[in-house]
Amino acid sequence: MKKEKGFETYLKELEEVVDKLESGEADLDSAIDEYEKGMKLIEKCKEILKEKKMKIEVLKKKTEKGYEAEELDADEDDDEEKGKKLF
Amino acid sequence: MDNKGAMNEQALSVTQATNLIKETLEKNVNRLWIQGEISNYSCPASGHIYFTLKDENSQIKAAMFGGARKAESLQLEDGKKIAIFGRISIYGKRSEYQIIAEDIQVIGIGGLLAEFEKLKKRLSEEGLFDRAHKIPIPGYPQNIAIITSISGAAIRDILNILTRRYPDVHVLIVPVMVQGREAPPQIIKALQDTDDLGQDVIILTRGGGSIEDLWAFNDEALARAIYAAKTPVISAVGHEIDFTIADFVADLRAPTPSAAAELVVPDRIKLMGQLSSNRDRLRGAIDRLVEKKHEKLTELAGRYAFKVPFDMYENLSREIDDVSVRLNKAFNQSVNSADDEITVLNDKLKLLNPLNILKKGYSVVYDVVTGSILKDSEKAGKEIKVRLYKGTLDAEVKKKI
Repeated sequence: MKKEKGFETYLKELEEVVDKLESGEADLDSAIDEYEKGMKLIEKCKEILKEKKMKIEVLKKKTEKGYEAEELDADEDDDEEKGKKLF
Repeated sequence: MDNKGAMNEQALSVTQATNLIKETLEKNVNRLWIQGEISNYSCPASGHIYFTLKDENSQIKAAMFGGARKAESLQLEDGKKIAIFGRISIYGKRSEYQIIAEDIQVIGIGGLLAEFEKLKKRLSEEGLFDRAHKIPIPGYPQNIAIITSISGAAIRDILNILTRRYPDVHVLIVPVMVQGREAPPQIIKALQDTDDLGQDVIILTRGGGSIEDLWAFNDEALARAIYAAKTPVISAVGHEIDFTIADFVADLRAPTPSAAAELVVPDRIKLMGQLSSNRDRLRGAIDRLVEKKHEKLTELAGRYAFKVPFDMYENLSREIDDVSVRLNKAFNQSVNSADDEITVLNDKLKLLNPLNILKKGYSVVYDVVTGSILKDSEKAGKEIKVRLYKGTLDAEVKKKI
């Protein structure tokens, strides 16, 4: 299970930073802080979008704690080979 | 048995004969579809149903064990035209043969469609399709469960599109049969199991097929399971023109499996655009901010220029350097930082800093007699002047430390 700070959170933070900066209320010093923060958030978002690997699992059975599943490798490099495994 | 001369010795008992006929029939006649009109319909408390299927010339007895529910949903009654699927069986006691039905479908013009419309109307009246009950689909799901056939075209299409559009997801495939009698109970169980696994969204899907192929998705119990699910469910069954009960009760209907993938995740390319525009806004905002401060400085400089001693700039040089270095760093970290932007901003900052440092709460102390800036308490006279960001103070020195 994946529950982490994802793209959505970063994008929301980024938009808050931009709004704050655009309001023009920050003094120059904190404006630069905000600018840096914004640029870092953009980088984080880009990294997420560039991540090529999608995690794919096939459910085997549900258990008391969660579930058992078999992972499928969907790496783009060996799509063909692994594709056969799935289909 | 052809040998009539040995009849007495070779005669079978009635039971033996019945068993022989039973075995022969049951072994050699495969399961089959038979269509006809219902007569002598009965539905006793046992939950089994019994009827005779007839046409103009013949009739045949039929039974469906545990068929009461099905019969109710199809509204079976005398005179109704149906098709049954089943096997021949001999009821030994009376040597009667009958069809044991495994499936019953209403036939005639749009028999299936009539059944579909009836169920749709009933569930709609019950409120299963109400908009108020629909759960919103999250915009950026991280965990996507897909209930479908592992070998179907649907899952292949969906995975392809997810990879292309937005790979930052965790996909859980829940394999089920998507057509036939086994399909509805399997899908219902998969749905109930998956609902407890904390998934952000469930896609219930299969590729195109005939109306019969898609029929599993018109199952009433499945509709109720979709309705009961706490996780948002996207239904994507067949092609654009195919509508199933599952589509109506789901939180969102996608016209095709591919469309479901497109609806469930955002588009990476669009998001990249969104990031670029945010980056432009950031730069624009900081540009405007510097411009604004610069205008203010020019205005203030006009008023105070004659009072600001030249060496004040020395005191501020460290601050200028600090801010310049940070701003440079910030721009270098940004992906497409443009050198000219940095230069412009640095120039503006140099103009801006004397003001900035006062605004931050620093002040400048002058000796009243000499009018020069005090850097050493020992050199201070009795009276001093303190210049703040706004206005000045005349002050007396109480003690030198």
